[in-house]
Amino acid sequence: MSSTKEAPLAPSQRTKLPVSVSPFSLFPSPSTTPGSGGSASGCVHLAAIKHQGVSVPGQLARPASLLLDKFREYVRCILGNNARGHFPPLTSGHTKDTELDDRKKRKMSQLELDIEWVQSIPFPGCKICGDNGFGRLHACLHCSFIGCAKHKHMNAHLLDTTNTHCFAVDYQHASIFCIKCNDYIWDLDFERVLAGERVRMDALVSKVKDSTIKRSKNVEWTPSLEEAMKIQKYSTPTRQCSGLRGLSNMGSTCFMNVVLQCLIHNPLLRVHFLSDKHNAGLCRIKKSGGKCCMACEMDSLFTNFYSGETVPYSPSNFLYVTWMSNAALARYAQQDAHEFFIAVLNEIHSNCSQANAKENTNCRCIIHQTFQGYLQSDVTCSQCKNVTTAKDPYLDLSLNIKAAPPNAAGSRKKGGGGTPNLNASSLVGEASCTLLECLERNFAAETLTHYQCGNPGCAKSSESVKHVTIKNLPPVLAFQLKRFEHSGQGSKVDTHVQIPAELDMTRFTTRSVQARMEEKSTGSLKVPNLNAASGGVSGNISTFDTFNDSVPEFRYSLFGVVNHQGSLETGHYTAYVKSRGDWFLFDDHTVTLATQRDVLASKVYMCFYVRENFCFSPSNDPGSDIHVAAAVGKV
Amino acid sequence: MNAQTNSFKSLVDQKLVRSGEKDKVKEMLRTRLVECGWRDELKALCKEVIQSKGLEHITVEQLVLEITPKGRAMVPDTVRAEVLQKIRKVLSDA
Repeated sequence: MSSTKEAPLAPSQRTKLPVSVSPFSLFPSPSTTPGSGGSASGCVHLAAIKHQGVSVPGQLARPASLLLDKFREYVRCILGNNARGHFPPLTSGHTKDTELDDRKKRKMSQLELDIEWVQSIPFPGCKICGDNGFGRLHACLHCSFIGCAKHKHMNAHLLDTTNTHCFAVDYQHASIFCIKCNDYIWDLDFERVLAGERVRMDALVSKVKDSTIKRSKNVEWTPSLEEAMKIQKYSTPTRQCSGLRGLSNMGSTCFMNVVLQCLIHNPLLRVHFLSDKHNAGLCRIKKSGGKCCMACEMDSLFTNFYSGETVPYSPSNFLYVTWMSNAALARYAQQDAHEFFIAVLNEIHSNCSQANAKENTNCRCIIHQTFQGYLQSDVTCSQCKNVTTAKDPYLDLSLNIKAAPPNAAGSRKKGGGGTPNLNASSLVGEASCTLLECLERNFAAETLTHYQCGNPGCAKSSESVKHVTIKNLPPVLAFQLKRFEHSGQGSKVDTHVQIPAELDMTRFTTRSVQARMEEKSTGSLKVPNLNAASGGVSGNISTFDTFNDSVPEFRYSLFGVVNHQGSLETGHYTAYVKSRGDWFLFDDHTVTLATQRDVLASKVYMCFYVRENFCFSPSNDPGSDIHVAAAVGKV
Repeated sequence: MNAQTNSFKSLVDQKLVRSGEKDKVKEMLRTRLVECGWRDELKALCKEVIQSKGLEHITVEQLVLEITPKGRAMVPDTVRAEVLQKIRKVLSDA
């Protein structure tokens, strides 16, 4: 594929920007040629302006291009303003290293210029009442008026008959308001500018946070006539499909069905397999005469799901390959979904990776790229304060639902005459807990007794503190809640675990924890534990002592849930999966629409989260939602 | 009375902005509201309102007017208390 070939761009089409607007030159402006590809607009008033007196199709009328320029200027300020917290205070006395080569120096100073520009963005405020945040500020696209929506100052400005101003841009979300429609409107040309500026700001913020970060350049590819002909010649007719398909139960195989549904709707795996990254015709294993390749089965599963067929599919080949690859799963019996999940991941990994199949550490196979992260465990010796650090890879995180006191097994026995007080508290604990609480418990510091210190100077067996933190977070985070206990006679924990639809993992990362520790030691109780101070007023375990700007955000959103009904020995699995913004319940061969409420209320056994911001994306920026919060739920 | 409250409000706001704590409080509030499910509930509520009225017959302004009182009532007391606590702390420290 000649996808790297850059489409020729007419230089005249590139909008040249005045230097005073922004010195973003690190990153070339992504194609923001106005009016290039269609000029769809959701607003008749804007559409009228765009094509007034223009004979050449695809070209914008002068007033419209002025609006667009103004919009771009505002968008830069808005995005810069929203991301301001991520920029460091500028070091004034920065001495330039003369040994740096010329190119690097120029780059450095450019980055500094960009940072300086962001910091020089004025704080907006309503020109009439001076409101500066909670009044939903809008900026006029025709002049430089800024007004709030709360007191209708923007409306008044746009309705003012002495000028003919019609459009304003929301100074938080960058959406466009049209006074004639009396509502927010959309327009492809404006959206394109916004998207382009977002990418640029993302790139700049990533660069500021970590100057070593490399972003692959997104090259737009328009097929040439020859290529288009080839594509047409070799493509098969496509059918409309939703990618939703039930899976038949082939005899206690619901454990497999739920896991497969969650894998198929995993965005990363979907992209991998649908972009033909594992082609059964080219498969190494198939070529060398092997029959069982789980990656090929996965590929065929995707083919069948996206074929347009809607009748339930029987993944019999997949089951066969599972049986051949894992003897423990090879019988018609009820299996553990999590066990199967791990088995599938390992099998696909070993089928995908090349010669270094044994070497798990730096595998670049799709499985490890998607699911693998690292845990860091620091053991601090209480005697010599020596810290021993170990790094462990993980494909998923298994969480204990209950707090595990040493005599847990004893106290859990029902009917055992414990003190009423203790019973009550354990009952509360059993009624429900949240995933965050489970995480807090699992990543809490833990005291080890009889720890043999590795420091040769110490080498004493003593107490020490073990603290596990997350070194690396994968794009897709899988959780297993340990509902099945195999100790003793075995039992199922039926506690309801409240899972959030959106999860921020930042506070469990090594960097965040270390930053907190540092603050604690240097800031010497500048901010005491909020919960302690407020007498546990929030009931939340997490503390908000630090919102360290140097810690990147790891925000995840839920896309798959596996539920188990029944007991330890026998039961049934169902899955909820999010597809194109809607939730669906998969119960073997039936697929039904569900609501998020159902999903969050279900008894979760496994859940899957996908990271929202892969590099850094202020499109999920903290500001955008607080704005709603501010407008709606002012505290 | 109203004018007095307003000037007091802007005074508090100024203090928060100057100390740089406003963004932190905002971020904390945002995270808390997501954590407690307020955001999802509100989203669902918005969807309900839009679906019941029909997309063509509602503007953002109307939606904001309708949702605002409900959304305010839905904010859990614990979150309210925590934010208040935090703001108090900033003000007393400053």
